[in-house]
Amino acid sequence: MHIHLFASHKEQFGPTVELPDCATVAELASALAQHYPDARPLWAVCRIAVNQAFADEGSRIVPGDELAVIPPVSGG
Amino acid sequence: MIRLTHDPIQSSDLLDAVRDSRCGGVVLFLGTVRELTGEDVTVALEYEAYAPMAERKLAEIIAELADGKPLVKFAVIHRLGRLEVGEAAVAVAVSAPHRTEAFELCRTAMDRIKDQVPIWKKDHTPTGETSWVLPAPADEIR
Repeated sequence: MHIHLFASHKEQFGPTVELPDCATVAELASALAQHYPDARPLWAVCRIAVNQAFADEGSRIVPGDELAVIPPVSGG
Repeated sequence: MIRLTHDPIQSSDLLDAVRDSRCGGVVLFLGTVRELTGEDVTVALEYEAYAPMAERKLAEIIAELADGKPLVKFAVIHRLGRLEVGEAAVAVAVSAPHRTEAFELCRTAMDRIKDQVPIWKKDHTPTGETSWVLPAPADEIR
């Protein structure tokens, strides 16, 4: 599954990263921290979006879902 | 009207989009690139968005605020890319039958945009250093 990245994550790792399939948002968060430990403090303050909506840790992920890591926002 | 754009914001576009003969109050807010944050000098801000989600969140915020208020109209434009000091990064226009409601809706819309919409900005300093801006805690200056 590929995950879209933005802002500092995008600069560090590119616009997307590939991870083994995850079944929930919590699993995805753990997998990010495990595969990209350099960015662990950053992942901790991010939210995961599934299909362009903020998702809870328990939210299910199915193949084909659009996944993104959302750092703390700073628009305006 | 909801728009993410690399082009300069034209205030008249927002005002034209919301003006209505049944609305006696029109509020326009511009968020501009500020030169000083404390003692730190900014020369430019660079904006990036998760565009499809940002447009979706903006639409949700507007729909929630306009729910049950058929006469209220919103227009929101957010810039992307590099902006110099003084340029408008975000603009929100609201029209409502009376001014109190228009002021309150504009303020609430802006607060929610800053909290919820996936847009980020990178600060450029006079010495060429850059850093991604973190949101201010809710109890700090808004």
